[in-house]
Amino acid sequence: MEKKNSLLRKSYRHWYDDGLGEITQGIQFLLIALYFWLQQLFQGKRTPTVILSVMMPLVIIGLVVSMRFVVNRLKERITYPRTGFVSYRQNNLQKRRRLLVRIAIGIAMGISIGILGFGLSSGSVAWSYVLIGVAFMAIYAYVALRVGLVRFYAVAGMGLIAGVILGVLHTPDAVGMAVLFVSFGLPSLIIGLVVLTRFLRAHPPIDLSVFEYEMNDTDVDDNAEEDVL
Amino acid sequence: MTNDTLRAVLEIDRTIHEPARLTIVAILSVVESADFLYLLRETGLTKGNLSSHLSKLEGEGYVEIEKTYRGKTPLTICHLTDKGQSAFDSYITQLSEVVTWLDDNG
Repeated sequence: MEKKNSLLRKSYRHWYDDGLGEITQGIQFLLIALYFWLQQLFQGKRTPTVILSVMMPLVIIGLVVSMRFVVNRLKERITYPRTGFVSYRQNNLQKRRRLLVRIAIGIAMGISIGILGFGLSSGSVAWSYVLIGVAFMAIYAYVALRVGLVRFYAVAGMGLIAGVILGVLHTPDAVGMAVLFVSFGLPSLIIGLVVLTRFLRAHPPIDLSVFEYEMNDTDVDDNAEEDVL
Repeated sequence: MTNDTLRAVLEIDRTIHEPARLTIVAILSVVESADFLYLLRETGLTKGNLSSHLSKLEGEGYVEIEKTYRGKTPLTICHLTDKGQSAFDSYITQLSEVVTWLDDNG
């Protein structure tokens, strides 16, 4: 059973071999940071603030959907010709877990934006940094545990540290959020780029088109089969 | 009982028992599907060897092979059929019984 889990974990880890997931997650976080920075920039100006507030959910949904699409297209061009394609088997429990993780992200984001939007006390804003930091850490630690990649623990730790530091410093609302998401996005982006560079060096593309799948190939040593028993 | 347990080894599914095919089936048993290149890397077999073993597994109805495209890249997608999964589970059970018997009586 342990070996079966190891095989399963290896197939999950295959998704992260190329660093593309981290790069796109990093870009997502940096774009969210940009959103908060713009919010701070237009503070006090009614029309841009309203437009930004309305756009926020659309921006997040748009980012999640488009980045998934972008990752898949990039994998088709970069990863699959090098290390092959594998899709995971997911039972209902795993699907429910993934859904719960997504809901947790949504709730953490919703709470933080709500706190900022309604302009609660600076104490609550400080707690929202810590809350987001903890949520970020939990998500990355979960992924690290699931696929057995140590680098995710490092990103998780950095997210938590950033959340706690910003909470202690009581950084002003939107600026703090921008800094927080930069501290999530930048390490993720940098690590992703390093992993991608290593991946490209280690795995040149393999051209299987000249090979084609031959049903009549007789390269197999079937005598060994007879000797086994 | 002794003879029955040991004789069960003779009934073991030889299509799956061959080491290369056992590796292929074990990998496919934990994923939804995998392409030829992924199996090539994970098993360490040669292209000819892998295709030949896949062909044998397909012939037994244990593996389904689908040729498709992902973007412009041709893909040979393989997945374990229900019959293949069931044969693999039976194989594991049969071997486990023999190993348990050997542990108890060896």
